[in-house]
Amino acid sequence: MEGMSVRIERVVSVRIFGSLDQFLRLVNMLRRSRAEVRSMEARFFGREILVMMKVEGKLSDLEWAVRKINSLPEVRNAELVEELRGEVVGSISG
Amino acid sequence: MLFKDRWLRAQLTESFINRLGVKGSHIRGGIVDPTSRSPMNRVSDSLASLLESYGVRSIMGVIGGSIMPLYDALYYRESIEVLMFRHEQGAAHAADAYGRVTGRPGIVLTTSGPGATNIVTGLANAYMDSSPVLAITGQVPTEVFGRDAFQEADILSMVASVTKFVYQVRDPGEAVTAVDLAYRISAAGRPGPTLVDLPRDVQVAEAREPKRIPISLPKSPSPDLERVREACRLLLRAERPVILVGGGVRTSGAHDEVLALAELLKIPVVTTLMGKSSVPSEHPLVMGVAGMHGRPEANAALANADLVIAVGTRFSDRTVGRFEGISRKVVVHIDLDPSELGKNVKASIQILGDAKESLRMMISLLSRIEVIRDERYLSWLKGIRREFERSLEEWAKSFKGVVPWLALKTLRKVMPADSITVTGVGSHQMWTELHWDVLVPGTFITSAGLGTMGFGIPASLGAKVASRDRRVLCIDGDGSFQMTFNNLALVREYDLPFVEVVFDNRALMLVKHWQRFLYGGRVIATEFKRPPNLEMIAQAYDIEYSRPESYEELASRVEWAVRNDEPLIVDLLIDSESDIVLPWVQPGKWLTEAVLPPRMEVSLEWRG
Repeated sequence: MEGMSVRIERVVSVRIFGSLDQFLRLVNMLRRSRAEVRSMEARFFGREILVMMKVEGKLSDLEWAVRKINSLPEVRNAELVEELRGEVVGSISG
Repeated sequence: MLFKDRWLRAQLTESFINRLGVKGSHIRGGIVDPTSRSPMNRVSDSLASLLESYGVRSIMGVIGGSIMPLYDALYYRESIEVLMFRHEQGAAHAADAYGRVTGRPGIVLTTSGPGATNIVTGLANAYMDSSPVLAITGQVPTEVFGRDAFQEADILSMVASVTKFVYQVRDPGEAVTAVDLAYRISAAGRPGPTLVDLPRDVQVAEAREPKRIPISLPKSPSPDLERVREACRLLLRAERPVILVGGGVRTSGAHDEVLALAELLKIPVVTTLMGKSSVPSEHPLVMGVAGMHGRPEANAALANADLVIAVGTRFSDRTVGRFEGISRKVVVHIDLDPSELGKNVKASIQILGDAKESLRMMISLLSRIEVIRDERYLSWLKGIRREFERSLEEWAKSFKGVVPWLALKTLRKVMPADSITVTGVGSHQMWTELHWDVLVPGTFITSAGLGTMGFGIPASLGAKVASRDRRVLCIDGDGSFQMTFNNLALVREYDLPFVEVVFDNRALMLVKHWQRFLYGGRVIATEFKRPPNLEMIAQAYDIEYSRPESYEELASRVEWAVRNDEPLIVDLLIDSESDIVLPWVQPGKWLTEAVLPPRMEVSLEWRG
């Protein structure tokens, strides 16, 4: 298990009900967290939004950001995953 | 309401009503009958009906073009009193206080544009202090969105980060569902402000079957029994445990459980500023508020504890000073909001759950165990308290003019135990934090997290609306007073008397304090060179005024106001050069490094 102070990269998967209004709230939350967003893809399926992003930071900070995102009523589920499930647009290389 | 006035009603003839185009079925004898339901079937009427079904009795706000349809629908709801504030910020603070007193969302209703932007501070304040508020803002019609229409403001994005939930309705079918969701989310779990933005065309659209919005209410998790057991084990092993009580204890109604646990374990209780309202100050185990301007015995208790059981608190920097100091201790953190656990302090045990339920589980596990506690720690803390009180007596002799803590003690003697005390923000607030005794939990309201000057007067109005049979006292500063005193107009208009005591030091004293000690004495923009005449302001609003010359006169005037439930403004002149709030933990320092009052010679470090 990584040390808590080591910076790591993870993927955050978020499912939200709504539109750009609700996506805005997710972005606001992320802006103020210590998770650094390295890449993000958001897909809008009617009124469901699926967001996958690569984030970097200390594990405790990433876990906290996910808990904070989950506190939004419009978020169905947010989780930290170890690896990507599917393509993330603009994946960084190097 | 306008049409309750019999003379005015008598002036309305059927022909006049017909010219308005209002259908006649609700007219009796040629006079508009305000007790009838709206003849229209608009979304606004459905919303008014929804609010009435919740038992809403008061709505605070300022009307404007974009929210007129909803106000029009409320015209027909005699059970709902609409209070016309003089500034929307005041309405938002009043709704905040209403929510804190009743536990139900206070409702604020404003128009678009400046009406909406004027409540941002109030919503941010409610968000920081976890207070239930439902804000409904009017909005320009959907067809002109984004074209910079008159009084258009993108309120959703402005409040997105200071609300628990926000929704802009574009489909009339969603209006009722959105307001219903927002109302319930506001009070569910950890309370907080919500906002629904209603375009004008949505408000006047024909009412229809509500559409579903698939958003659920936050669930209240049950505390994990194993974690509670482990916390109990740690508590029993600790030598100097302390309970740190936050505002979440008040929300949960867990004051009895906190005291029962403290008595069972024979341990001290300290509170945050929000937590001050959670437990009675006079209980022998309650040490008071800890933090930047905390009581020395409370700071000592927290600083020297080997275990902190933190209940319903978010570990504000104002409470703990340096996070490293607290993080070195064994911490058991109980909170309903998972995002608070681990946010500022990494606890040894995190218990996700309601405070009352969690503490009851602990008490049940511990109740059969006889706890033998070395009383020296508690005795030491009580010794610090005695030394603090002694030093205050000495200090009072050299304090020029009105001594803030003596004024507070005088007021406490004449205010009923269940009266609600509200404060503004400033040095008066810190004196109140230190020296005001909360006798009944839930009777102390202050702006803790955002520290909003001007909170006092409108919050006092909101508290009075929420509890008309109780007396309300506002401890205010002249700086805070000047920010929102326009809302004093509501005192006579809606019969909302309260006692407003102004600690009049002619300065933004807390900031001036920092300028004197941390900015080399460079005082700028903190002194009022031409303070206003408070007596004339009182007269303008038909409120009694007093500038007492003695504590006896102060007591007598306030007693009069309390006895008669009359409004009163008390102007206490406080010497600005003496008005330095101590104790004081300077930024970056630890709780034991507090600057103590003059001639208080005691160490806040436990030496065993």
